[in-house]
Amino acid sequence: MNLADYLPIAIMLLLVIVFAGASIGLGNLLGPRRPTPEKLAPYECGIVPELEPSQRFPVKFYLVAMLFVIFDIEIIFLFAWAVRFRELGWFGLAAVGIFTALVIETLGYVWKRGALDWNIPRRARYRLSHDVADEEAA
Amino acid sequence: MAPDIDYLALAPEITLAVTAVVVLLLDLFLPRRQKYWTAIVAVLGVSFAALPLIALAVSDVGDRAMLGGSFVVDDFALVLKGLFVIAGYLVLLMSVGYVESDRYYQGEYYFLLLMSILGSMVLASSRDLITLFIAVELVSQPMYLLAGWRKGDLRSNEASLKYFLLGVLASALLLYGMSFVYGLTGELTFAGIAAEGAGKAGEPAFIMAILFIIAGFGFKVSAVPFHFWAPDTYEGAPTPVAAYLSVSSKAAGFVALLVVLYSAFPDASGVWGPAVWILAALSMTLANLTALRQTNIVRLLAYSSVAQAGFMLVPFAAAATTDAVGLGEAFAATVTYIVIYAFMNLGAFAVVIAGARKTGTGDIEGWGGLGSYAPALGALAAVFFFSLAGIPPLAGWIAKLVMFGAAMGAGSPWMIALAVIAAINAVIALVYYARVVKTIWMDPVPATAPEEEVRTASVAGSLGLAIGLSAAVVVVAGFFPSLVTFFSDATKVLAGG
Amino acid sequence: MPLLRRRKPRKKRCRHDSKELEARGLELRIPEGGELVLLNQFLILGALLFSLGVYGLLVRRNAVMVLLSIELMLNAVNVNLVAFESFLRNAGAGGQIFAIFVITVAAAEVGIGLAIILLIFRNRTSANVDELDLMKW
Repeated sequence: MNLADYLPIAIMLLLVIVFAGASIGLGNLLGPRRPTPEKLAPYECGIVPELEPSQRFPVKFYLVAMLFVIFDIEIIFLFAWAVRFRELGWFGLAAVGIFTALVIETLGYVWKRGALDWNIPRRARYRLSHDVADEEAA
Repeated sequence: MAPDIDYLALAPEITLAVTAVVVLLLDLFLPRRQKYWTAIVAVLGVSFAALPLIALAVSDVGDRAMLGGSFVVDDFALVLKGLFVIAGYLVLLMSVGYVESDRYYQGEYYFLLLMSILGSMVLASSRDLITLFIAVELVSQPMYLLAGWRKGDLRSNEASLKYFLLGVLASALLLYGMSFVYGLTGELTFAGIAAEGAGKAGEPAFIMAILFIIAGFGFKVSAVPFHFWAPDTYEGAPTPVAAYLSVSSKAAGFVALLVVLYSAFPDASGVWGPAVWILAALSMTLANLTALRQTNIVRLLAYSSVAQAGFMLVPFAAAATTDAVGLGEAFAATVTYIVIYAFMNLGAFAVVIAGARKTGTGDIEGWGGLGSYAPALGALAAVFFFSLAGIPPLAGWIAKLVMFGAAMGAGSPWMIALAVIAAINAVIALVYYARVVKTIWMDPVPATAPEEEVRTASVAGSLGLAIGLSAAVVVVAGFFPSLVTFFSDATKVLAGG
Repeated sequence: MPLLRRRKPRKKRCRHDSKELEARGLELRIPEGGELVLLNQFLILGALLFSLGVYGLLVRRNAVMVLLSIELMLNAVNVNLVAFESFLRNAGAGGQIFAIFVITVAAAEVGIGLAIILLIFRNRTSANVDELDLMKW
């Protein structure tokens, strides 16, 4: 067991703690501190904010962003295949075919579940037909 | 230019992948009232995935390597794949009743769970950095979503976000370490890294890379000080998901750690040995001390599983100070512990699901008198908790015995110190495990307990089957330890022992 | 200033290996150890990006900014991998393949992260990470 190898790391860790502690501690000790209500306010003039600013754009965009990020990246594997597709031959084509089929299946799933609709109705309809109707039955 | 692919060796993975796709499509086209078919297909698919495993185990071909040695099906991979299939099967059984009682989409649940099982299967075979990384991510990413599966529940949301953030941080650390390993050795397969990195164990960049990788897997196996996500996530996530996280997901992390440390960095054991020593000692001690103060049964099991991770790390640390034979012993000890831990922890979580339904609470105090109105469940709870504590003749005892054997076999003073720490912790752990059993059997039924028919309602069939199977393994393996050691000895191929 | 001075029209893509280059009539203009300096610059860039990412992940309150920090960390890894790949020049192009997989996994992670954030938005109309304190850390 060779704990001696860790000595530099331990010393480094100690130095980090001492340095960080000293920086913060000395700043607090030596720095002048005369707080006035104006200084503590976030802005010197204007209305003091009481709430976080409301969101700048609808949450729907996040859904689009999420789907875009995922489907956008899938193309990267097609690029890798495309530069070598002659050498890879039928095996490569089959592999890429399976891959594409899976991506299309995912797209179909997203579509059917209504995630591509900009307005809510379809998604609500899916929920209605799959959840609420059932709850009523139960 | 088709690569040489052994389709029989890939058959378990292909079966699971096809099942997952079918489940997703079924979920889309089945009317809500027939969605239970997704559960049936998922359970069938996992069962079918076990068939090629058996065929591979009895075939005489030996090790099957493909894709330039990146994907290897040897005895080690087969044993671990078997474990992942059985654990996945038990978690599916636990989920069936649980998922039906919620009102969310079922298909997604089974799809994500199947994908995670698929990831753990690939992980057991992966022998290069890329395959290993993809497999680890395939295990964890569905679990980020499943942890937040109760969409309307703020606790579940929080569990999901915390697990996600720390999990992603872990992946980034892991990758950063891997990029340096690649840069320093120019190799991606573990065999190549072991050959190229033989003389580099002293280089600072190499040491840093190994420590980054250990830190990354430390998060995945939830070892102290990388365990912060575990209690919150287990508590907020649906209980079957917590069971999966504490067993399959953790075992996957351990498998990855075993494969990387033993087959890629065998010469750098002077670097990872001390690091693992510290992780093991911290995990056992801190987690056990925190577990003593827990009042919620799931949080208690979360801290217990962190402490158990510490016990599993003990043989790792031993491997660094010993010769080739001891290396194999230490390796087998870890695998034995993982296999036994999987069954007793799954059983404990299954009992918790059944018990929470009867008592209507997750607080340990609310479980008072469970033994009086549900004697069978109380007895099984005692079996699993005492097994976790390591009381003979239950299986947990064998696991602890093998673990101590590996630690003492190494013989160095550091390892004896670690064995002493482990022994003290085993006693501390007994206190809180026994406290739960005492509450169940000795305490009176609290006034807040639900009325008679809820308490005596029978346990759902699939859940009962999961509990029964786990209990059978825990009891039988306790009396016939050779059943487990037979499998774990086979895994020594990887350590060269 | 071009790194290579050409004497004869070159036939193949040039590689910065001095022996190979000499055989093809090219002269290496990189000073001794110059390639290593170049590699080090990329590694320093990677380390800076990674550190920024870790800092952002731990300090930022807004969950979307946290996701950006995650991207930063994974891209630091990509910088490392591609720099090592071009420095090592081994035939398998392993570093680039690894980078492609890292990009994909990063996209999946961001997708999952956005899904979780959407979920939390719907329930509490805020995306601040530190407001999630139902359970003690």
